[in-house]
Amino acid sequence: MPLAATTMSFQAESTIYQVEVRCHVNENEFNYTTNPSAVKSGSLGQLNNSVTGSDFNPFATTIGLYNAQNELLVVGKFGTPYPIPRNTDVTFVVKYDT
Amino acid sequence: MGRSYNTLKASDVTVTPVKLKYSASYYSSTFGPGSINVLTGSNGATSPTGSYPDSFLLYRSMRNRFYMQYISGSLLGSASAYEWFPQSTAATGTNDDDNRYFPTDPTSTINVITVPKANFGENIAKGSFKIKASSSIFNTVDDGNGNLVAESNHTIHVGNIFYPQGLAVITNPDYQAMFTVASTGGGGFTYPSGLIAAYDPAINVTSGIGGVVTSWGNWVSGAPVGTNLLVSTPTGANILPPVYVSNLINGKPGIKIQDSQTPTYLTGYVTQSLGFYATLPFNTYGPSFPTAITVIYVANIPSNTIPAASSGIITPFYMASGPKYFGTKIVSSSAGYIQTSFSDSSISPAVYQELDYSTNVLGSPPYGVSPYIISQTVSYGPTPLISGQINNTNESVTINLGTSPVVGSFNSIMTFFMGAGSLSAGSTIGTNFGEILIWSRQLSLTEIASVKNYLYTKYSITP
Repeated sequence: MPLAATTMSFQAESTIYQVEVRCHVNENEFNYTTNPSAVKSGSLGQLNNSVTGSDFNPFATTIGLYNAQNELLVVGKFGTPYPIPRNTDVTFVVKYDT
Repeated sequence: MGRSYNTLKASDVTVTPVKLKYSASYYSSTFGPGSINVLTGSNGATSPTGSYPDSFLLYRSMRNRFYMQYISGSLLGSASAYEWFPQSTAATGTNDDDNRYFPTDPTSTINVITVPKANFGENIAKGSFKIKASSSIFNTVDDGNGNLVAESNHTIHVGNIFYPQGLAVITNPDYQAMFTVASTGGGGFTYPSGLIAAYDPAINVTSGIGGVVTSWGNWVSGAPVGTNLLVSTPTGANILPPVYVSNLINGKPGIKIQDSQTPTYLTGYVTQSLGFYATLPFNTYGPSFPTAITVIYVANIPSNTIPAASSGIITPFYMASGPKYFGTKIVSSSAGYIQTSFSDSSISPAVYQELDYSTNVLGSPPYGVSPYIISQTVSYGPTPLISGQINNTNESVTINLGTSPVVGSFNSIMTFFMGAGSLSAGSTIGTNFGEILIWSRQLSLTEIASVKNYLYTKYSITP
């Protein structure tokens, strides 16, 4: 039927689920680089001297969450690369909504 | 770039539910199948010839699903056997309970508003539902307990809302009119009965409504835009102009009443410049006089109508050359008062206004001018009277009270004037009328709403 000029307004309600994943890195973990560019040319995986010193910290740029089948499900990018501290634990918190 | 791995434990993951609310508004032009929809359910014969009408099936499904427990004589064995989807857990009588009423008369109707799941999510948030109707008297809200109530008065029960189902049911028959609109154009709209005078430039209805002869003063129908119209006063004196044909009601045909000192023939002080008038065919004395009159018109007043320096009285709507006829009889009706509403003519751009000149039919005026309400009873005869003149002086409304007695000479006709007034030098008035309708009775809220909706649509006015 034709309707008179009418405006209807309401608030819709929905539930979302916020998932928080804490990725903990102990002080002795992730403190060497696996970047292929750090491998000496012609060597069998030997790293350049520049990345083996005690002052070297690899930088984390991305966190990926994988399932048991090794399928990438979630990717989180840092705003700026984060240096992995050599002597301190660090926890990265990944949040996503479903 | 390299990658390193670690394995997460279950304790590293936390899942938190978050309730989201998001607001949205929907205009009736978007309503329809597949979207928010307004359907009408109607009671009817339980054994019709042929198949059941959809409206009957809707009526029955709503009744059986949500209201059966409240209907006397239902076949339910017990209340507990019935899932009635309560929207409030408050006890009956606490004012927070979920009140259900369902009309069961053979001709009863309901409106059902269906909202798709995609629009409301898990449920409509309690206390958030609102209907802004074309006429504010029908504005409806939900009270958070499953009841739809009038926005202006929460004791008026309009219907029910079922939040998780996205359904709203309008059971109050008065409020079903909020969705009613007539077909547009020409004579497609059927006016409520009792119409005794109408000016409608689109269909050139100037007289003869309902078999009653009505005259409009010197009206020229179908004249081109810009045509000056001679207008005669009841005494036969012509005034030139002030009326010409215009297209100023959103481009729809209308007339403009223009009083001004600019024309050289209007010198000095202009008094009683009459726009046009209708002579209504009933006797002010005697049984044929109606106990109430309803006048509804569409008009706008440009923002520069009345210069600030003017001391003139502008009267876009003026009733009776004498001060007695109208007020005497209207307030002697059982209803007992007149309610009027004018908009603030200083608002720019020009605003549209309606005048329902009957009893207790208008809600609050939309533009902030409080209606002037007279609630006295005036008996017929030489007692205090209402003069019948409504003056709109820029932004106020005044109804003059008089004390003159009714005398026998005012006994033949009632005359309505549009655009009458007294103007000081330099004053101008430019009221545009699109349509004027007069009934010899008080219209119901539903009838008034139907007329308003018709006019809103016809003149492209957003209420």
